[in-house]
Amino acid sequence: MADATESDFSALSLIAQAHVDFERRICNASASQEEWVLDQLRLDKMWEFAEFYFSIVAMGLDGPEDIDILAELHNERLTKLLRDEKGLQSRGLRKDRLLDAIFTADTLPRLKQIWREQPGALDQSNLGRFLVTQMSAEKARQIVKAAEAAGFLIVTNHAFGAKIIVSTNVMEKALGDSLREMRLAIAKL
Amino acid sequence: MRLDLILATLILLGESIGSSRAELRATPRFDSVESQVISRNDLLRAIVDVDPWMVRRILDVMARTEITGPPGEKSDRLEAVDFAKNPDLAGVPKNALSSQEWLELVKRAKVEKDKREQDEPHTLKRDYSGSLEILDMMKQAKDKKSDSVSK
Repeated sequence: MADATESDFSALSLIAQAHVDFERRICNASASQEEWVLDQLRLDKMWEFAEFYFSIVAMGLDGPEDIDILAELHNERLTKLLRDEKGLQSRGLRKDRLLDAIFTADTLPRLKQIWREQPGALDQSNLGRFLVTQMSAEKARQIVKAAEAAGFLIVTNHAFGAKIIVSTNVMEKALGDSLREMRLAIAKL
Repeated sequence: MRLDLILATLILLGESIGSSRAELRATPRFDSVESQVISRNDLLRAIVDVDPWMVRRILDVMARTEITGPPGEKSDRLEAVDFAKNPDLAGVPKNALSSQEWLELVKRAKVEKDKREQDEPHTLKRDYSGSLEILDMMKQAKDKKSDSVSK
């Protein structure tokens, strides 16, 4: 029993180490070493941000048609969450924000067109919609700005007038490497 | 109804009609002089990325009428704006018709800036439930994709 608890403790330590390693990796990989950029990269929200992009790659959802499935499931998730008053309250989520984040006939065409033109590409507003439960639109914007300066995202202007965001795969690799090291080390416990 | 109320209503009505189509409109362009104005005014700088059209409209009012300061009788409506950080917004248009639109726009820009900067409770903590939901969504998407390929 004592051994098992000690192994649990070691696992806890490895989880924390994975976060430390991720932070070190992205800060080292950052093209900008300016403090305002590193400040954003060090935030816990950066892990959540990278998690989103990592999941798309890890689940092989970077095909031109995959956005249809993602948008549908995203809407289902938010619709379910909107019915969960207690969940909303405990997580500090506001209904109006979630409603704004549901893809509608107004926002879906642009989401799909931009993704189909370049699979994985999202505009700032729609990226904020996908991340609505994790961070405010403003926080997402700040992280995008820092990640762009770091060279983790390429931000361009689309004909629609939107800012198009494409990942350079640095965040995903940093997170993937940190997770793999943690997983292998935990397996050895 | 007073003229200023009619104008304010028209501004707000126009904005609400326009907002649903806003995402499909092209980003407004700012020339180098306007970019300098934006960069030296805290309020414009804060919202230009999120609502460039509001900034465009503020600059358009500035272009068609002189903004004279310090703010006059309607300054109470702009009292929350820090004019030290917004030197070009410190005043009201000479043209009375533009004045109402100006006050409304600057006030709304301030509200927008405050809203953006306000820390929402959920942004301060790590939302593991949200992470799990997103990971689950990705897994479901992968399964759906596999199903559609195999059919």
